[in-house]
Amino acid sequence: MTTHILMVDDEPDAQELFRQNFRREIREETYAFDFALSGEAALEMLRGETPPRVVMVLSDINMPGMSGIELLAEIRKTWPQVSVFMITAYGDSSTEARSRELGAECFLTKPVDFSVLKQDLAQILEAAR
Amino acid sequence: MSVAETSLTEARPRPGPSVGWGQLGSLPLWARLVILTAAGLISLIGSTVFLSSALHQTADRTTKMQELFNVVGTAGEAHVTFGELRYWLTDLSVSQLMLSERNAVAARARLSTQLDLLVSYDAETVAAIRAEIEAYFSKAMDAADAYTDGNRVIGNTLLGNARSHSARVDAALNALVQRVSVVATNERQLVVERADDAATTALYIVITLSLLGTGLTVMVLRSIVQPLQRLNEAITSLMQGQYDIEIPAEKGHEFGAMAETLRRFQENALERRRLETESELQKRRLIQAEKMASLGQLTAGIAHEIKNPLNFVNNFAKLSDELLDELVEILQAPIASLDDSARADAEDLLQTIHTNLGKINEHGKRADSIVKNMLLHSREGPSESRTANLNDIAAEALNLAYHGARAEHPGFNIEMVKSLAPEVGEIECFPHDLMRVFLNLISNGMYAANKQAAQSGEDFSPIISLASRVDGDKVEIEVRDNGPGIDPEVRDKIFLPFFTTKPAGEGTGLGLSLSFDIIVKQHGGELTVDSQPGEYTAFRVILPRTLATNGENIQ
Repeated sequence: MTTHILMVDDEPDAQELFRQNFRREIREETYAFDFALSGEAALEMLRGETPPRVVMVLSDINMPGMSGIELLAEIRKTWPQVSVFMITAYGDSSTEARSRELGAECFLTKPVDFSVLKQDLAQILEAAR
Repeated sequence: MSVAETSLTEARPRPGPSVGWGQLGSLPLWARLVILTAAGLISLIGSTVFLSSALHQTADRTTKMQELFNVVGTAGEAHVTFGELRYWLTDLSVSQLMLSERNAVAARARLSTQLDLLVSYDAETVAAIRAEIEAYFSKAMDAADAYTDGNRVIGNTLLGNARSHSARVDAALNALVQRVSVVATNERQLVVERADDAATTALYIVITLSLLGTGLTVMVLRSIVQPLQRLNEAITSLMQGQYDIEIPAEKGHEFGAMAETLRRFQENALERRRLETESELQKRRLIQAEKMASLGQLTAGIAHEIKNPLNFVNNFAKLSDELLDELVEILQAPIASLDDSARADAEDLLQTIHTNLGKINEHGKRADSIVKNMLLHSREGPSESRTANLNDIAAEALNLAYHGARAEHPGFNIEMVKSLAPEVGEIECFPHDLMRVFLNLISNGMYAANKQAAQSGEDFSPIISLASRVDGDKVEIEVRDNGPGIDPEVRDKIFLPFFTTKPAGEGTGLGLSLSFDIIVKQHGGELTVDSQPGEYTAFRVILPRTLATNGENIQ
């Protein structure tokens, strides 16, 4: 069964980075990726389906408009079943504490270590199953 | 007048018992003027008394002299009268006229009166003369009677007798006139000499008093004018802003008070100048801190902006390398089927791409480490303060730095000297930040000592030493290396962000800047450097035992 992941980042190249890094998983249909360039766009996509096929959101924190933290709070409120990973360039402890307080599953710093990310994803999915 | 004996040129007060000038100088001004006036008055009165007494004496002498000349006159008159008496008595003897007898009696009476005047001068001589006159008179009368009786022989005898008396009177009167004349002349001589003496003495007195008065006036004036001049010079200097002059040590009421006032003014001025300098320094420090803070913010901003694209560079480089590996795998068979030259080309190209991607990755990581260091300047969120053993932190940093250097350069070695004073004990601090500072300082020291070792060869043994001590209510840690030292020209710049002397790629230029912020801004301490080029470099961290309230966080 394919796991749908929504990747939220204002940098378009982030999509390419994820696509290439997960190329095997995508080819093998373990994961399927949707991409949004802003928090607002991400919420739009989630609202598009009921219930959303996305079970996991990977979100940047510093974005123009809605921040990743706001998006996290919104998702937690509306779709509690969706796991959220925060990915940020600033790995400071207060932002991490705030994210975990709001219910983020995982907190990663850029540059993303994809092997760690893949392990974390697998663990979360294993636990959810 | 003891004042007159001392010199006014004595400018400085002498130690020990001083007399004269010192006493005059310490008298109040009014007393000095009173002394001057009193000396003038006393001189005036003294000389007047002397002159009037001399005049009195001269007057007395003149009266006496006058009396003597009177005596001489009277004696002369008596002599003349006696001549008349003798004439009339002789005439009587010849003429026997009653008129001659009456004239002779009258002359005798006048002579007696004149002799009365001389009694007070010489009673004895006058009595003798009187006796001789009486004898002469009676003999002459007897002779006249004899002639009247016609007894010429008896008359002649008596007259001869009378003549011998007459000669004696004449001689006695002559002698008296001579004697008194001599005395009177001497007396007159004496009066003239006395008057001359008095005039000369008076002249000397006037000259002496004038000289003394002038001297005293000069002394009193100098005792006033000289301190005034010195004080005036001091005042002028102070007015021109030269506050570090020496205020003259004046004595006496008025000048002492003026000097004391000036001293207080000087102290105030110096204190004010010190405060001004201090506040100027503080202002400069504040401006410097502001600059550093805004530089820090700028640094953080740049770092944030660079970090995102840099992440992409690093991620894509790594990813491409992985993709290349996959490609190589796929192309293994097709490449193997190529002819030798084409295969070599293909393998070489693939290898070059692999190497290039490695270089992109390596330099990207280098840039990333710079950015990470920059971000340490602007680390968000509070770090925690607690009490911690400073020696332990420093020792651990030494250990970590050593192993870090060993891991990076397998051949690395250095002699480590620790001299940590246990009484430094625990202080209130941000332990993680201090650890970063010590790691930084020690790593720098190890780098410098090792650089020197690489240049000097085997004779040189690199040493890094760590020492701590208590300094009053502060504690101090010194990190010293025997490396090449720091050039004086760059010593001012080493705490500026991005300043580094290391070759490109080996340092970010942020370590010391960050350390400075942590020690000075966060802990309220001091970070100083001391270095002798070619000998050593010593960084000194001075920390208060307790943090000021609201210990500032590095943002």
